[in-house]
Amino acid sequence: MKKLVALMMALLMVASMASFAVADEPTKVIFWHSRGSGANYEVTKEAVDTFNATIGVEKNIVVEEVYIGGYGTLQTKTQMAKQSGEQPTVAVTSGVRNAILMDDGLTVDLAPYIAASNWDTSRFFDGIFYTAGNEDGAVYSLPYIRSTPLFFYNKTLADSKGLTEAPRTIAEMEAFCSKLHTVDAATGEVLTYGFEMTNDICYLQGSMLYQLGSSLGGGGEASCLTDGAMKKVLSDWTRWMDEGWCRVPTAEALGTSERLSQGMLGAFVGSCSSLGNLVPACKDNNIELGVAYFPVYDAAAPACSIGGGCIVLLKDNTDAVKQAGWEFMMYLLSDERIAAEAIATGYLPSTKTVVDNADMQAYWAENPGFKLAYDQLAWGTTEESPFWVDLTEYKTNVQNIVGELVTERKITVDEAIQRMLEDNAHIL
Amino acid sequence: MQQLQLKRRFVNYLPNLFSDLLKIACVLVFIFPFYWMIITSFKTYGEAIQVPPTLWPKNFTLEAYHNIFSMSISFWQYAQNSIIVTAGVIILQCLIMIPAAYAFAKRQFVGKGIAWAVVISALMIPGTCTYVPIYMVMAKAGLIPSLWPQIIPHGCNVFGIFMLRQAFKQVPDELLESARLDSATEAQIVLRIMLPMAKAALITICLFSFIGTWNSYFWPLVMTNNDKYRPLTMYIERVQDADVGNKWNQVMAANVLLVGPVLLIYLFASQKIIRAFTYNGVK
Repeated sequence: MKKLVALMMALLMVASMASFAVADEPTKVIFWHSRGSGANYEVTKEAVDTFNATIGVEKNIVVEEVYIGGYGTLQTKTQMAKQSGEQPTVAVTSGVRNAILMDDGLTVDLAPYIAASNWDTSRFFDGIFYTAGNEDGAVYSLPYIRSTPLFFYNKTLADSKGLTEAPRTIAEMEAFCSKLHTVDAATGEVLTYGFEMTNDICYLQGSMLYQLGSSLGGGGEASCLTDGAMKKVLSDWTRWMDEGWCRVPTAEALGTSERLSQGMLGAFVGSCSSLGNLVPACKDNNIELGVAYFPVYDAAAPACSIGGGCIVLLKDNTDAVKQAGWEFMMYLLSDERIAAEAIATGYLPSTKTVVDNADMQAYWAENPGFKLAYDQLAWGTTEESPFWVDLTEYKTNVQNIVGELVTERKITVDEAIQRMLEDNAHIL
Repeated sequence: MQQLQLKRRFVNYLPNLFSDLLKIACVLVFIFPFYWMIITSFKTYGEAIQVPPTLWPKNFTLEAYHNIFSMSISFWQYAQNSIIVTAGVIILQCLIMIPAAYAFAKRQFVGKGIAWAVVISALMIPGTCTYVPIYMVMAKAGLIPSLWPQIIPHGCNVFGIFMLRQAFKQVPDELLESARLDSATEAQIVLRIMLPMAKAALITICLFSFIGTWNSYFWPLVMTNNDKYRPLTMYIERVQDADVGNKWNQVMAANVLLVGPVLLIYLFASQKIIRAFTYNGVK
């Protein structure tokens, strides 16, 4: 009997110790992201380490960051993880992918978490916050690393040609870039192309569509194909190439950033996240880099696309893990953290309140190009709203046809638009 | 007299001239990408993207290698995973492939023909079809957070079984009979007679497996959700920072580190393959 009592007491002690150990176990948050290396990874790791050492210690949470890949890989892996039961807690996603994950029932509506924490979402720019899925009071994603397109130019070359003021409108840009275009008088060889725009239908050409009061597509409607906006954008672009000063975009190892820093290109439009590499590359080659707002059709009605990633909270986790994930999301989106991320990487701070951050102010004073990109958030729009599940297929079709038009020059603008309508007839 | 000899030698050599020039051109075509990779890894970023490109670094620098090793991402973790996975795959393949090939080549058993047809039919299944089912199996078995999903599915090398079976079939049955008369066990026959005589095939299969596994990218991309289990090929993908443009010197430095072991092993193994092919074991 004594032995039995002793055995039972021992078992009780072991069980209580085990339960104590389980209670003490920190809540683990798995954070899947797209920031593989360089400043992007360093700043992500620093964020996770700092969280673990501060809030993590206080609230018994440990975050593990895992690089997964680009946005496409992240989406696929998150969908597969649902099947295999390996879902992360928080994941980076982008554009229409937010809505696809929401549509698949993988992500959590954050509205109750926001309400319970009394967390102020009005800090975010509307153009970033009201993205796919964030409609009718529901909040399925929060803006994380965002970007806007800018106009980059070789200021050294521009100054040498008497071009002292950067263009603001597209008409001014045409005059500006055609003057930057430099040809060897003896051989006729192009030394420096005046301008280049890559085939990025959602981001660059999409910005121009917004300026014309249209949009690439939302809610299953592709108004730009019928209201004349797409025709205007493609006609202008092909005309620039026909005039010779605009380079035909081709798939090459050297991108527009590299060509500008090598003096082969006078100007281009591209993401503000290019600044991180462009600034030192131009300095290496003794080229002064000029940065200006993305050119617009009407200076009184500016518009541009907003690109980049969001963060989402995944459903297949316990309530405790989801709450811990939410704590981490709030930390990532604090003004201090947003400022640190922007300073380290070139991505944009997504809140209006970050202008009060001293570090951010000091950085903008030294790097006015980054401030320009931030200013554009006031008139920027994320292209993926309202949600349309076939948007990815539609965009791919349109982008491929634009490629045939601008790179291969096999079809006319009218034929291209007709093809866009026909090829997407089943989803429009 | 000397001039005449030289002239005669040149005339004799003349028919080979075109062939030799062609060979040199082929060698240059194959070697140039490696040369380019190596020299670019010793350039600065600015020089790496310079147009026209330089054929030799103007400012020879180890900056790219320094940057790679000073990143927060552990190169050694990835390298260790690549070594374990590659070694694991080759060992597992040999453990399965050698007895299977021996059985199909030299043993008689019921259903041998059907079993062989089943094995060979595996060659006709496109690998990409197996990605999702195998991922699901591994996930249900709780193996995703480990190196096993990169090793176990590659354990059975059907092409290797086929190649080795063909090599084993070349070995005369008389050798096996005489070994059995000398009381050799089946294991001893395989290890002391069959394998030495099929060394060429075995080394070739192992070399192909090594290259295939070492360079594998898509399989680990699907099968891993954590850096702790990822191989070097995925490290290179990480070194590229597409958001701000490729740092070509760093990408090339990482490639040198990835390709270096393959080149070294190939250099040593290629001699062994030639030697092994010239050895047939039968006088």
